[in-house]
Amino acid sequence: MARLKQASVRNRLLAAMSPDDFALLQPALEPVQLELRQHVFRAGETISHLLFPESGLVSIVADIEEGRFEVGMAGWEGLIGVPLVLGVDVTPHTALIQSPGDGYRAPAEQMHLLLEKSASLRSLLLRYVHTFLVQVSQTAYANAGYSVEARLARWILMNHDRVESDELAITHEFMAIMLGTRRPGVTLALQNLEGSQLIRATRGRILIRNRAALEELAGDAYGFAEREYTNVLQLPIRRGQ
Amino acid sequence: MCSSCRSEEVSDIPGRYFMNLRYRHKYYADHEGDELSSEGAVRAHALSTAKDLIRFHRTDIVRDWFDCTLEVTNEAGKIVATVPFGDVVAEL
Repeated sequence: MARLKQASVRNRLLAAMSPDDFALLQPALEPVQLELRQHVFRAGETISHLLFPESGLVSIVADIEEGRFEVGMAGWEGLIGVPLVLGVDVTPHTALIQSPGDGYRAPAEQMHLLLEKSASLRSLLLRYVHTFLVQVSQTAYANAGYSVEARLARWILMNHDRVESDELAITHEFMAIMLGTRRPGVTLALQNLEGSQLIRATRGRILIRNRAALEELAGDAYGFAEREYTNVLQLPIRRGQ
Repeated sequence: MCSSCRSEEVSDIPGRYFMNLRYRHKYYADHEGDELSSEGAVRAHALSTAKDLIRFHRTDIVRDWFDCTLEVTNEAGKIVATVPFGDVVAEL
């Protein structure tokens, strides 16, 4: 494989790290395809790699007896394997590819050594971990205080921030899993958003028509975590920033 | 089985069943469906769906879930079960 250049990477964390840290990490990175609905890691199993998505989207989901629901997501703005950054290699959560894409991954053992070796690399990734925790906290806040319509609007916006298109390829069933509800509830909410001309929903696809109105509907459930990401990492995340 | 639940000739053939939602005069069609082992499993699945919606699904649209009904159709578009959300209470 040709030597990976920092100028050519799209992952925000890889691009934002110092050239010295990138040079340290680069030999450990290998390209990887992210296939729809494949698992990056499963609950209770050892996390073998730290993944830096270049495109696509990965959901961190909690599996419980009554079903599974999303607790967080990451794409090109972040990494998959937060527990590894914190020195933990097994987690009760599962990382599921929600939207296909590609990325670079580094073996857990090498990441462990590199994080010990470079304080600046460790600091950057820990700052990302903080923003991810804020995102997860906001998911809890949204679940506790907001209707499914507002949560769906937030979820669509978070997807929109992490893909290059205005169109999302997603089934109602998958959205129901992500939002911790049942499919008829998602159908109801989507038709409501479509009736207000915020989106256009066809089978398996959502076209975003009015992002500003989606932000208004999502209220405080959206924006808080995104501002924190930008403040802490000095990187944009919201579309249009 | 409740009086409001319609289930005629029950088929044992596995298939895809669509959980369409009727709320007052509005109808929300399900285009994806669920794979179920038989028509006999439809009612239990519809009741479980309704129960989860009542328990966890806070919506701006439906004022009262008990005004809702799941109208389950098979792949041929035939209604195989009509399950009012009130039946969740009847099953408790």
